[in-house]
Amino acid sequence: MKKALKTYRHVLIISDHVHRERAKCKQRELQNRDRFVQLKVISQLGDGTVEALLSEQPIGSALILCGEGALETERVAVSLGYARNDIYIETQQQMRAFCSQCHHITSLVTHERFVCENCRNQLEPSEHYSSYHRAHLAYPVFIESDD
Amino acid sequence: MKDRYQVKVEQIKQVTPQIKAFTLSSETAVDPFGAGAHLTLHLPMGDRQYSLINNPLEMTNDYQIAVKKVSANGGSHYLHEHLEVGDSVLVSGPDNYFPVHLEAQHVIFFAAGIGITPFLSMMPYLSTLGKTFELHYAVKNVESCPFYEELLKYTEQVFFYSGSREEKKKQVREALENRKIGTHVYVCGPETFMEMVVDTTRELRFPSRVVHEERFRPAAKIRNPKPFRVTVNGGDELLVKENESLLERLLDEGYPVSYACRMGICGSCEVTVCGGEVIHSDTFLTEKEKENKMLSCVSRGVGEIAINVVETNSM
Amino acid sequence: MSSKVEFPFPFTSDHYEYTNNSSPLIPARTVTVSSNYVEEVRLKRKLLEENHERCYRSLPISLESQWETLLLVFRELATYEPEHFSFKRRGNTYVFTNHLLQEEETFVYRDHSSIDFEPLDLVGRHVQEDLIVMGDRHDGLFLEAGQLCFPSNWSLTFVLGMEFKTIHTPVPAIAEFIEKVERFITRIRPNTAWERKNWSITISHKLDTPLETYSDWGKLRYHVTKENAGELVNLRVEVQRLFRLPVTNDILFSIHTYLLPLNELVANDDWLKKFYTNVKTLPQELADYKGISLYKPELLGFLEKALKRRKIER
Repeated sequence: MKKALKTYRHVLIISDHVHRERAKCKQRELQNRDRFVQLKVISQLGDGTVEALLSEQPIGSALILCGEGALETERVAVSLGYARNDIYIETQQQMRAFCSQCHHITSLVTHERFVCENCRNQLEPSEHYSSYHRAHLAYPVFIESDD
Repeated sequence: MKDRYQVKVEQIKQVTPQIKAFTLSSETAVDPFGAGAHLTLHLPMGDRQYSLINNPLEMTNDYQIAVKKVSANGGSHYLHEHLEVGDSVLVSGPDNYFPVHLEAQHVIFFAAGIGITPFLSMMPYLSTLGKTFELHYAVKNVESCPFYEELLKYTEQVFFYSGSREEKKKQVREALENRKIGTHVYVCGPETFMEMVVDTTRELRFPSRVVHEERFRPAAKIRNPKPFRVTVNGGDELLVKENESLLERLLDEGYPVSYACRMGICGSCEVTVCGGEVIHSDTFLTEKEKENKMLSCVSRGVGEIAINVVETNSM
Repeated sequence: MSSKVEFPFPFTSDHYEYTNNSSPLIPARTVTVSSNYVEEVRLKRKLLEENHERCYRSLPISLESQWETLLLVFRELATYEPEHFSFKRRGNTYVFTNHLLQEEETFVYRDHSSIDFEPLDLVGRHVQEDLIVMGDRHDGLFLEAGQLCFPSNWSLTFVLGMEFKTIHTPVPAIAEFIEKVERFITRIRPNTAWERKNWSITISHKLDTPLETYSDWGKLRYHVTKENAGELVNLRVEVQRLFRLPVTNDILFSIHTYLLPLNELVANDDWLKKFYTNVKTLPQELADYKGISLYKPELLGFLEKALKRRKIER
């Protein structure tokens, strides 16, 4: 279970340029006398420049990631000792679906059937969710007469 | 994990006037162990647990323990005064309730007195893995402290505390301040020392899951089991004798209770408790579950209890 | 030994139960060598060759546990199957000999440059089992490495890095069960092995049924009839073992998969009766979960015919 962000004393927000305003908003919302909220804006999340910054954070701090590529940054953070529960991802991106046939991840607008961008299989997203891939598993659709 | 087996005392070393280190070996292969593990010695006065102090990655079929003589007639006295090279000792394990977490980026050990022992295996282990650590060690006198020579190997990483309680408290706080993400803390020593360190980590907002204390032990076996009465499913009344378990009684009466380990570990033989007092002896149920559940293989009622046994597992 | 004699028939009672029916294994073994050893190990290697990404995945943090697993399994094979395997140490160098395949593996412990594959990927090529390493981390139990050639409709790539309790398809009927299993796993003591049998059904005699090729083998589920069930339908039993690696404190999960065509199963009266009653009393939700609902009437029809033929009362 995730703790409320309000319970942390130190929060680091990393954002890409696109999500800068949203991140600033978040910073204003959280910042107060007892809480230090640092905002770092970089050109693109997951470009490998944040490792030093992440490892310098005080113990017990929370991490908020805004933007595309948050997943790679999250994995770096976990490898540096962050607990997965202390990492929050803010993104406008819609649902992600993991193709069970070719492993390609497609971003979706709705939870309905779709065609995998990579292998062209018709897929149906399921409730099975991976917090590692931040994606729902999608199964191929069979029509009964399909032989 | 092996049940009881014999090992032979291969070497005894006087570490300090109060501490002896014992090397125990076996002709057959002994099980590997992890840093922080302990061995249980079955001695005439009862079972005693001692941390293993050798490097798990360099273990060559022997277990090493260090024992401080604490009382005139306890287990440590027996080991110090009666055990000689060549003697056999009945042991079980090794087991580990104080494992090292490999995801840690940096480890801080806090030890006081003989509480140093689990860290004697952790430090060489982490060194072999190329991980960074530091030891903060509270002792009465630095030069005559246990394993002083060994610790000199890590001069840069070892910090001795030998002042008053207030001074120690200040030093512990300083050691824990401004720590980075990925730091894990391990503490072992007398209760008051462990509390001091753990309280400081709380004040400094360390997540509790990165603070490891050598405290947890499985629930004790019920020593003098007494008979008790059980009402099952609001009907049958059974008597569980002192020398049998509730599970055995239920199975004898034909109740289809699932079971597996019979050691209070797997949770298969859980039954619902509807009334009466229960002595829990398992390591499976949560405190909340214990309010209305019991494991029939190891836990027992007091006087009279009422339970429900589901006919078939509804799952 | 014939494959039928060694088939680990999973049902002990006449009704369906879904429990943590794990029991401790003494001595603590993680693998078993069956009569299909050579054939199945060859199939595993072929699958690894053709689809390495699908069959092998690991996170860097798993490496210590992988080495520990390699040593453990090689030692175990040499200790319990000395006629087929031997394992020798010369200084820091170890030599494992597989007499069944006439192969030798030489390596320096914890020296990655001394082996061609990752340690788990190497040791897995000498056993029939699929091998999974789960890391016992401060924030949970996570799947950190796996060599998985014979999965029953799941994807190693999808579950890599996932927390144990989220690995299974979310089904309300088993949610509480999974939570209990996780708690059970965290309490497994070092050097201790536990075993449970898990059953499902595979249409066709095929060990490798990964989710990735579901569109190939999954459609066979629509083709089961009362007439062809004996040949097409196989009882699939996974002997699953959990072992606490003492040095890293992580968990090794091994899965040995056995298949038995129904035609062979029904030749044993006791098995036939137990299998029939278990399928019949299987709750709908679990029949869906195990993928049986599609052909349950045809399957029951076939079994009822067999019961009648063998004059067994239902």
